[in-house]
Amino acid sequence: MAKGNIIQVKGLVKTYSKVNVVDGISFEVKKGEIFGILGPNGAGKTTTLEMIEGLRPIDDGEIKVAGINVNEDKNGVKSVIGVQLQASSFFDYLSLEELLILFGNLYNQKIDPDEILDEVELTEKKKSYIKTLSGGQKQRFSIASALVNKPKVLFLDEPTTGLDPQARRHLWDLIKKIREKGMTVVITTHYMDEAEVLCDRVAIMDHGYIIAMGTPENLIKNLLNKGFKKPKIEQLANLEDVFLNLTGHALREE
Amino acid sequence: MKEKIKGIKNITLSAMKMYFRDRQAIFWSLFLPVMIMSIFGVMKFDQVSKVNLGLVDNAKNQASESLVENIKKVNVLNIKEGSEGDEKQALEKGDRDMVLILPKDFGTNLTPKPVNALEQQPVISEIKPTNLEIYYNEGKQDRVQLGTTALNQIFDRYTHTVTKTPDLFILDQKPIASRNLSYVDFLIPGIVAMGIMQMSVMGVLGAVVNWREKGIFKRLLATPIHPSVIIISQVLTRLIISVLQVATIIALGVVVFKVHFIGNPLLILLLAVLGGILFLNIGFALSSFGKTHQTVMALANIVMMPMMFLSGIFFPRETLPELLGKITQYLPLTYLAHGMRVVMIEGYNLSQIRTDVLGLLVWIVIIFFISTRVFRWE
Repeated sequence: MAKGNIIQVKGLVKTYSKVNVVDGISFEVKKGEIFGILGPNGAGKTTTLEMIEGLRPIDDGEIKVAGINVNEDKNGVKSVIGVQLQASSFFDYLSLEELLILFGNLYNQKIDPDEILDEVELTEKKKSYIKTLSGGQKQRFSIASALVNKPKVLFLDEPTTGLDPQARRHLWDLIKKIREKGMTVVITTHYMDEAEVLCDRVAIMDHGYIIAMGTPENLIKNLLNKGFKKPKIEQLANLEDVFLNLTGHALREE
Repeated sequence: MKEKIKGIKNITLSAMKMYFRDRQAIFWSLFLPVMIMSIFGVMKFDQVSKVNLGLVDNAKNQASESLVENIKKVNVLNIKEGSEGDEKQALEKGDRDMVLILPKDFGTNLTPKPVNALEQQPVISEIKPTNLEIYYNEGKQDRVQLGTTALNQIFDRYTHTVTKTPDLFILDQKPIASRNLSYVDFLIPGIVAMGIMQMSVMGVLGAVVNWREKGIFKRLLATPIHPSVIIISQVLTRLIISVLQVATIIALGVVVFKVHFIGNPLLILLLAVLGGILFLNIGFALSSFGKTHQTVMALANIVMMPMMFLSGIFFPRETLPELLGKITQYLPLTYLAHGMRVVMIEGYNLSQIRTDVLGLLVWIVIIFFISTRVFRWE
């Protein structure tokens, strides 16, 4: 394993009904970076992520996370990573505090729910049930549940899908804050603005292949070097700027 | 191993907490069986076997009234009084089995004027029998016969009293306190068995489908706990709730409905646990034959409904046609209901219920084999 790489994926393959939804991809994630896997729906992002997380059998290839081989030791990997799944929910009838304690127990760790809830700014909701939370709060709690084992790598699968602009920005700030504490973050998204703001490096996937990889700046530079020109000159502000200017950056939680 | 046990303990405790906060779940698992039990418990099934006798007293004198009093004391008669027209109409409608009419001149022949002071007693041969008309429902021969016997007995006794002829036989009645098993005694063990079935099947189906749909299973599997920990704690949670439910129903049965409970609690616990494990397995198996909540719930009802009526929950299985009875004796719920019943009200011991225990065990093995093969996390 190259020094500084916390995840190493080599020749990863997943086949469903004779179709390779992930077709021999390889990439590395550096320690401490925010790595984005981009691509349209159905590109194989989630499948790739779930194989790395030990949630799906690996049909071919090799994955190492923090020096642990996922093919051989799924549970070993699961205990050093944190996972926020796409569209996953939690038990009804348990408060956020109780849920975090339960998740701590699943990792066999005693945790301080207040500290984690404070980190995701949900302290005042600690006695509430999941169903009373807004979309943004739910995603923040989902991230909180992924932090209980103080993971080395945090996996976020489309964390901002369905959120309003304010809640998205708020979540971006939270993700940046987590990275500043030294955690590696792997995120999938199909929002390019999100990738541009958050990611140090991205891999662009389509039809099960990685078709480009690098820093957002370099990928843009490469495209411009090929002589690409936008048909319409970018204005200095876009509609989202107008929206945020009018409605403010403050969070709206219902 | 130690970590596994700790995980099971933690998830089970959380699941219990969730259960007791979910009022809907409590309603379905506790109040429903209790409600069914209450409805059937207050229904007077004993009344059905009584003879409905309409009494028409056209005489309304001392003699007729004292006869009516005597008739009212008879237990097998369910007496309604009314006018001749009304009662006959009720008989035609089938609301009465028999109608007895006391004529206007009833009793006048019983108090003849004393001839002289020495001869106050009427001379027996001088008494002309009074004709009492009884109309009866031809279609209810059994009840009519029972009613006629009872009435004849009263008239005999009445005749003896009036004519002062001595009884040739006296029945020396010596009461012995015996267990009078009523319908509720029959019903409650059945309700206990049915409650275990519903609680287990519905409970586990609801949880599995909900957890699957919401991605909770996946989220749990993303942590290092072993999948069996999730299943075992789910089974444990449901078993604990089942036992609580059984205890509640029995307690209610004893306190409110005065059920004659003489069973060994340990045997009941054994049956409850075996039945619980069996029906939980059925729930896990069923959960994999449908995707949405609606489809699996419909499936569950298809499986449970016939059992509710064929396994002797509400009515004795002896009432089933012979062939159907022979086939349905092997139903899972039949074993559980029968075991519960003979333990609770007959006080059977373990070796006397070995067929039921064995039947449950065989089913557990079969269903476990199926459910482990078909179970899906996603």
